[in-house]
Amino acid sequence: MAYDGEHTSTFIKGLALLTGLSIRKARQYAKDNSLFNILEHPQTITPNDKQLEKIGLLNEFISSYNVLKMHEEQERIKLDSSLKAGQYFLCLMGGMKDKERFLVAFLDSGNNIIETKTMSVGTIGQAVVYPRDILKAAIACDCKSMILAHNHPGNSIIASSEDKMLTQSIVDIFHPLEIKVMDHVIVGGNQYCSMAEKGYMPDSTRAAASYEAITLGKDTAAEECVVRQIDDGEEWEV
Amino acid sequence: MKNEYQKAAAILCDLLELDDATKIKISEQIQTIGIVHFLENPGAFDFDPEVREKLQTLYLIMRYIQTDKITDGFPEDGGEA
Repeated sequence: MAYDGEHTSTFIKGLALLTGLSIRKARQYAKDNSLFNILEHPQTITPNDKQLEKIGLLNEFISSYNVLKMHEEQERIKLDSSLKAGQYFLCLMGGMKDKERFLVAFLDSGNNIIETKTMSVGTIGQAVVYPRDILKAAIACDCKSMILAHNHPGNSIIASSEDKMLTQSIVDIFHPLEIKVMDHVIVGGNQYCSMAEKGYMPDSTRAAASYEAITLGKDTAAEECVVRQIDDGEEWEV
Repeated sequence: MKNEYQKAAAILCDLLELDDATKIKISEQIQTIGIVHFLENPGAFDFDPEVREKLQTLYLIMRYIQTDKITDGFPEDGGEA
């Protein structure tokens, strides 16, 4: 294992925080040994009972994580309704109160997630979204449809005119490519609003697509989108 | 796989010394968004700062371990002669 001092130091500090091992002892051990020996052969650094138990738990978690990771790589998450999309993005952004983020879930023809990408991270009040970046990501993963989502750090569930303008812009860009924008989910606190469910998703305007950046969050004259948590969602055709 | 997710959440909570309510919350979240996404975004959930710090630490350790496995790889010449 060839790691620089910074990596080793981070690993040792993390190990100490999670298991209670002495940093000094782990550093001393790391001078002549692979740090992974601590996980694989914990007795080598003579831990106490509690530390040994924690190392055991860490090893169990690593195994469990690897099994689940393999499963997740084989079986993709399916977003075939506004309910599932809302729950998914609520899990991803429900606790985000520091910054506004704009995410896109790219879907295959069966509405399975190919990948979810964070397209923009802004400030607490706004985020700048570049449609051309979304276009590049969509083409790269060869998606058939997508779901847009962003959070409101202030917890409100409001569809602003910028939110609607951005949705329209993305719909117009992807319509000629036969890539459908299924929904735009707005998350605030522990609630979300699905624009598809509320009938706010626009049709293509047939106007020339605009790739200009759009700033979300700066609008004050916003129209409230009905707040919802968990209810029956709109089903999408596959 | 539901049991695997519940098991992973239980181990995680024992490791990080989290309460049962958090265990249920984590179990639901990792079933919905996947364990990989959960660990990659430890700051995204409504946990208190101490829990977030522990989750971030765990993510760093997992990355460290995964990276090492990738770095080591298989020997290109098929191993020792």
